Amino acid sequence: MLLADIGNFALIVAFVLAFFTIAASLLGARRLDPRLMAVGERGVYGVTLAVGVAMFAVWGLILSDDFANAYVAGHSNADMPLHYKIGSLWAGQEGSLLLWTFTLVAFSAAAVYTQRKKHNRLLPYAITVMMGTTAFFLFLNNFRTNPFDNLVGITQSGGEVAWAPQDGKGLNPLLQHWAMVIHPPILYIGYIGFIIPFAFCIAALWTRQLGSSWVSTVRRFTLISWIFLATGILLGGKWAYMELGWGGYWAWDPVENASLMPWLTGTAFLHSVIVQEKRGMLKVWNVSLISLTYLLGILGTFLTRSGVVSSVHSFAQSNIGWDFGIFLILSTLCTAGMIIWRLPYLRSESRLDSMISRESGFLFNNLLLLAAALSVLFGTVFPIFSEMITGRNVSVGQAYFNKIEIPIGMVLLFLTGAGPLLAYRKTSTSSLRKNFTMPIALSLVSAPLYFVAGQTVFGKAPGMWAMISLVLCTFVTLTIVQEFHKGTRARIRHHSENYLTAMVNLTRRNNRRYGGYVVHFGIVLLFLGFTGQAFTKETRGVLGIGEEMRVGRYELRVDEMTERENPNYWSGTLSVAVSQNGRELFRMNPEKRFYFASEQPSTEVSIARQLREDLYLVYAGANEDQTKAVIQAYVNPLVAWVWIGGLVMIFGTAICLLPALKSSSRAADDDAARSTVEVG
Amino acid sequence: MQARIIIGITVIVGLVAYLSFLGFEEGKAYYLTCDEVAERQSELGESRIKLAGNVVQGSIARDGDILKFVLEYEGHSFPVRYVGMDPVPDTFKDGVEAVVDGQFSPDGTFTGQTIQAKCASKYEAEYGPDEEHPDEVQMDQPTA
Repeated sequence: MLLADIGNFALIVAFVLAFFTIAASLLGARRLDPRLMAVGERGVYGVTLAVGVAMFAVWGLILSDDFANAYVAGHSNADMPLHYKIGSLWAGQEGSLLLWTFTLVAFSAAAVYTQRKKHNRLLPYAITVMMGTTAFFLFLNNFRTNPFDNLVGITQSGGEVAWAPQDGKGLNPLLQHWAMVIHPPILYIGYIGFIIPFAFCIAALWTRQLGSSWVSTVRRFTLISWIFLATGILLGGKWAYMELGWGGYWAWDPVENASLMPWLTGTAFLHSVIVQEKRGMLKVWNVSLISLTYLLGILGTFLTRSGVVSSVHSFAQSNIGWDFGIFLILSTLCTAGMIIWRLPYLRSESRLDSMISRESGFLFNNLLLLAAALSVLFGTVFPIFSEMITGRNVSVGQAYFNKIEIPIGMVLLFLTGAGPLLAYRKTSTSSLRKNFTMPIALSLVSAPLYFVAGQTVFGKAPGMWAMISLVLCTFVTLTIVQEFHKGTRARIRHHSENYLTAMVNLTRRNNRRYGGYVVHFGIVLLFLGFTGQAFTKETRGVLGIGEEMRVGRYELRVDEMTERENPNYWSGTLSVAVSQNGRELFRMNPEKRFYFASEQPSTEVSIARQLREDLYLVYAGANEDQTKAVIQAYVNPLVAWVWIGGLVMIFGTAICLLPALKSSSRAADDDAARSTVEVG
Repeated sequence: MQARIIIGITVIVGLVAYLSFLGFEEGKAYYLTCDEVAERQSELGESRIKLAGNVVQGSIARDGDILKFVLEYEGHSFPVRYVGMDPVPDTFKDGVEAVVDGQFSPDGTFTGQTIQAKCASKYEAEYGPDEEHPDEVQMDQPTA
């Protein structure tokens, strides 16, 4: 009980302190009073401490099995393993929103800390934006979805009394998976991290300091948020693939889309700011893109938490729907207002000289990513508006999303390869010839090879989009290889290093550029994985012991059906022998479970992972007389490359985040980096 | 230069809008609850819709390869046959909210190709009376 009181108190303190911090920062900035501004900065640390106390208080209640607390009783139980107890902090609405707030204030504190000695004029205004958002979420934490509410029992006579059950309800079995435990925090870091560039953007608009200083201030935060968001999205897909048993990892579900939209505009922003740093262009694009990213992140939280869009994911929480809606509308209006107000200060410093230039490549990049984000947004919220206007709820199917996003994706993939080869201002014809000939030629040559490969390896010739995707993946890979080779060769001319050492040093000295290429290669692998879906095979069979079925190149035979039980769940397992051409390769054990406490069945899919394809087996249940097993079998080609691509992206981003080295031999590096392209 | 940029942007936006329209027409499905369907059954005919409702207790049955059950909402119910390839989601059981994508057959049953069941990320905690609190009636905290 004491812990709950401390936590509750901490939340109130944080709420009040947030306003106090805003006042101190704004007043300090207006009066140019450094002491007041310092008070504001310390206020941010204070809010962070208070929210941290509240969060640890909830953890304390969970770990001490305090079932008088409604949240603990609803999401934890005494026997649950430690790591799931820790994860249950974000399993439900109240805890999840508290985690949101904590992530927000932690980032705010980090921003203040990294800027503290730089006399950054933008900081007090950035603090105002960050603390303003914090105040909204603390309002929800305190007065709408308070994790410190206790359970109330109603007696026969109608009175209310404090009450605690013997044990809690525990975590939904579908969430008892490592990917689901880390998915929310990682996703939140991704969403919420973008508030720092957004806050500094608003501060820049406010103070009219609209050069590239605000952009470079927040470069690292932008990159970190971007990769965390990408990782969070991929983790969600991986969990869906491993847990939900429908053989796929992405269904254009509203909650999935909610996380994708800010990532798309965030990617555009990440690239577009390069042009602002180099040539002072695309300023309106940049302030708009970061604002959109932040607002889409809030919208995403709203869509996921308010139950306004029907989705298998949406957790109907209508009590905060209105709060979010109002906050979102106000934020959008204020942001749009600020941008329009400061439009005169956002004029381009240079003009676009040619369509075949790096600048125009970035411009098209922005357009395509924005078109993707807006089309996904339209498809996601259309049901809400159609219901409001016509009274009929119309949902767009997966066909809508695939029809638009696949072509856009293909053009973006092409730009990924072509963009870095273009020069600023205007690319000369000779440069075009030198850089594009090999990649284009070789990738076109590869087309018939893929045609044959599809047939022999996956049993089916690639369709049009699959072919385009494969050829473009080849094209981009070749451009990246070409770039690394040219840079390495140039470096060897000036240093006596072997090829590998030269390449490593090249990357180290120009880490933003070459790290970016590594990230791009990760994207190629992602697209390779996506393309595999064009070759998926699926079969369903009802098999008794000893009976066989065929899927793709594999023969599956059920050898055993066993059952077992423990206090937590009942489980039925199949032992399946997988053979090819009569020769047994390995065994797989798909399982079906039934959890007693929650009366929830769950499928434990069995996946045999290879680089070429995944064999994916689902034990769907027994037939009517319990003698045979219903098996759903999928062959999912190239899926592994989606996850590998994600890892490569993380590695590449890490390279980009390395501290820049001072180059000792400028000439060599200028040679290697003819036209500086740096990501971030 | 300006003209070329504007043309380029218009082309892209136009293409995307065109693709949106195509994809929309191909994929759209009205989402209707059982009572809404009852109102407009005649005009629906055999067009593709997403039928939403709650699974009636005890109505889930297997007929060979086909899953049968009854969806109900606000007093109106419809028998459903699920013939899709994908396995039935784990969350699908008595009483849950489900959405079935498919169409009505002339005999009045709804034939579905895909099923979605509400992800029970939260479920109300219901506690009955126990030794310590013999007086207490079951209550559910309005958990979000």
